Amino acid sequence: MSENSAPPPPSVDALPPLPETPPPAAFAAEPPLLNAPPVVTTPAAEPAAPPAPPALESFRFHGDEREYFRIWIVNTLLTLLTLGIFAAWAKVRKRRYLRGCTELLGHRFDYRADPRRILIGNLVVATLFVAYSVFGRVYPVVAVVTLLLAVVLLPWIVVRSLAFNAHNTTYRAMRFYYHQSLSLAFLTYLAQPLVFVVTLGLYYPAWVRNRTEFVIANHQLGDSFFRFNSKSGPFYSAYFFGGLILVAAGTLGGMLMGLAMSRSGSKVPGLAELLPFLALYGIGFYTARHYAFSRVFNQTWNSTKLDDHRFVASMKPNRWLGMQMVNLGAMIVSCGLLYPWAVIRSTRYALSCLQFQPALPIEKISRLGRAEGSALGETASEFIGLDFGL
Amino acid sequence: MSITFQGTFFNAENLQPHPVAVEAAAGRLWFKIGETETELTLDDVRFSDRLADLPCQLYLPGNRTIETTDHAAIDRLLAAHDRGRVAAVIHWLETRARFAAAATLLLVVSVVGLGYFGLPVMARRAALAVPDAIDRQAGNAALTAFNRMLAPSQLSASQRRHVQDLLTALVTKSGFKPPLRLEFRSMGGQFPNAFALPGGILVVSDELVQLASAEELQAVLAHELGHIEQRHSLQGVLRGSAALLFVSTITGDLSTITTFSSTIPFFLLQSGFSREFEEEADARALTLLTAAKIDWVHFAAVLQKLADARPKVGQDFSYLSTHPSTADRIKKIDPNGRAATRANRESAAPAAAKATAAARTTVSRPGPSATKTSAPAIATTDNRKRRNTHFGTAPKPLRQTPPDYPFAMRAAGVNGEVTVGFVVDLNGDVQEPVVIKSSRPEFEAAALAAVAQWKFEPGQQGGNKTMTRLSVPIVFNLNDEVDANASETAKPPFQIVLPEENVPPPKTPEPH
Repeated sequence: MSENSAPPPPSVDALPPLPETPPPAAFAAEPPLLNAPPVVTTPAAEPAAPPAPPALESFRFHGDEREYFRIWIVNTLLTLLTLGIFAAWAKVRKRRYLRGCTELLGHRFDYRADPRRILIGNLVVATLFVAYSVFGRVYPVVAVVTLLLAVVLLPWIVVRSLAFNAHNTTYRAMRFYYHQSLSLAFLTYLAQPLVFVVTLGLYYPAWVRNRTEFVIANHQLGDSFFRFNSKSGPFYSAYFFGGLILVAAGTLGGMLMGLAMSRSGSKVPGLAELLPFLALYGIGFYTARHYAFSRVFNQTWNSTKLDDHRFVASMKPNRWLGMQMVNLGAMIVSCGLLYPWAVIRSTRYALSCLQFQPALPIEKISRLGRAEGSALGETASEFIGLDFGL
Repeated sequence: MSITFQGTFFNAENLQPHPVAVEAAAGRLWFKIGETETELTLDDVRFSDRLADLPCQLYLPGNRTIETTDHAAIDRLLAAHDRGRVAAVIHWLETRARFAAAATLLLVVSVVGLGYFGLPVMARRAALAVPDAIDRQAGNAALTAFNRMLAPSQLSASQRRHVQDLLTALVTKSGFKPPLRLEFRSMGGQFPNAFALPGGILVVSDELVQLASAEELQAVLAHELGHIEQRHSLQGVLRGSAALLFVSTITGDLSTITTFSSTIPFFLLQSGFSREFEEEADARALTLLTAAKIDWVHFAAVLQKLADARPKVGQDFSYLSTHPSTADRIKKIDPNGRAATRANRESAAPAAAKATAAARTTVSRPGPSATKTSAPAIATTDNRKRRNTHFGTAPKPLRQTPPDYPFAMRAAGVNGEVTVGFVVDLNGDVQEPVVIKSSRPEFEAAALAAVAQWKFEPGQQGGNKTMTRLSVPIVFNLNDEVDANASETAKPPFQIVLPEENVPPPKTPEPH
């Protein structure tokens, strides 16, 4: 069995590259890992003259909207009925479905995390959260200290969570590996955000680029290293046009509001006048995010290599945007119940835009012994992942 | 019996796939790669849970893996060894379209149910179980935060003492137990208001003291006492945290989307919460006022004053607001519009109003006693008289047996309130008592049993006896209970709320 694909390249843990997620945050929380690094170590092969132009291998996604909806709804219900205990199992099942439906060179990815470890992480985080929010009221010092602690621990949490995810993602039974570099994480998640605050956000695209590199370039598959090689320019371009969309929407909304206010003659905008502005601004923000995401997606994967194997991404911003607009509408109308549907569509399209170009038969990639990640980091980062995507 | 299946073997040393035929028998697994034969006990093999049509993975020691799509064989193998039962059930559920439909429905129902019933109940229990010391500490923390926003009070010492005396009187007469601490703050000449912080701290703004009359102040204080008694601020915090946890658990995998979408249900839950708190505090205020023999009309009046004093915002935000609208609250407290009537009269004849204001202190009898002809209430009586003329007479209570305090509740030191609706028949007996509302189900039986024994002088209409529908809030208060047992008759009668049909039309008499 097994395919007889010619040049087997290693792949990427193409986790659903950010399903419904908007862009940048996704890289931090759930890494579509790409990456590729420095690597002097490339154990690579002899400098043999490369044969003909390497073929492009497509990622295939076998996910089905209905199937995933059923999985999602059943697991969510069980989570609810077990008061959240089952959440860990649900997460593993859902993630395993998405990875297991992703095929490259005739083989599927697999996710084999132990739900019990995620459960422990969940419990710790939930306890801390409750203790924080309740005791923070009683003893404000506790709140401040906890918050400071959380900020300082953030890089550690991110790193642990990336490592946990990588460790539990396999391709052809080979685990991915994330090299945990705490000092770099501090630089990336604490020092650099300060810079973009100081520069009033101008540094943001560069930060996204650096963060992407931090995520990608520390991943390995066996003895092959991911590398990321991109300048900041394309990131600036993506966010510049995204910003333009946002500004345009905000201006339009502001004008509408001004118009309505001058008609009604009120000094302070009332709800009726504020609503169109808020709606336009929200849509503009959503549009800008997804526009920037699709461009960053292309730039990221096109700059990523796994040793000498390359990735080729060709996502069309308009198509992605249109799809996300439909997703947004569907989710609003269905009160979020169509979320799984949106995930499958987005993942299918994103993966259809991604190709792998093996330089050599990937079967050569071999093992490198490593330690394991922990569930605490992974869950904690999902929990607070909300506010650091920015 | 042996089971065989085809699969792909990966050695975890490199990415090379090896087609393999696996044979399983007698708790052992056997396969051959090239010339190498491998035999394992099944106990050393972990099977991936069945999930959709994904290939089944057999995780062997050392990360080696066999992947197979022969689900039938694997299912037989697992069944033979009594493994993977739970996963099989989940898989079975996940593959039924009908179950998915049912699950969707069930999910929606449970989300709503948990969000609106489960969480509040848990938060209440937890809040009431918090030790007093912690509660006090939380109050201090909240007050510190308050001090940063509010200026010190400008009230004179005698004004403060006056308010303190009013509070003491209210607390003493109504038998309110928890320790209290009264604080004054200025809110910049606007916003008459009062706040209940944890730890029994009451913050009253200077503006409120200047705006409200003595009874009105007591009414507002009674409302805040309701918040304090139920530890609403703690409950709010607990509910907020629980709601956030709840929402993130359900939407756990939404990652970034949640920033936006999870705030919506959260917001809805929160606003529903505080609305409920306000209603609860209003209800409690009414029972406290009754116990302290203060006419509810003052409560309605001060709510109106507060609403009028609030800066106007052209738009109606009430559908977004966390407080029930003032009009709704007033309607509940004062369905006959007596406060409005009185306000009209006062504005028409300010001098006369002054005079009545003095008299009012002595009046302050609660609504029900006003039904008795002896009640000297001024604003009240003329209203009631009118009702008697045009709409007949309301039933007059002859015997109001107090309820037995449920033993478990007494032991737990829990107070409560049950509103019982019933019909007074032509003999003056109580028919069809039903629970309309109750703070705790444990009190319902006792309340119903007590009301069933009550005796009335039947209501009259046009000179004939008539059946009348009434509702009565019955308060279970451990402090009250003592005097209730001491003398049945001396006990403040239970407040009787006349139904809408019996109420005079909203037409208020012109004050001219």
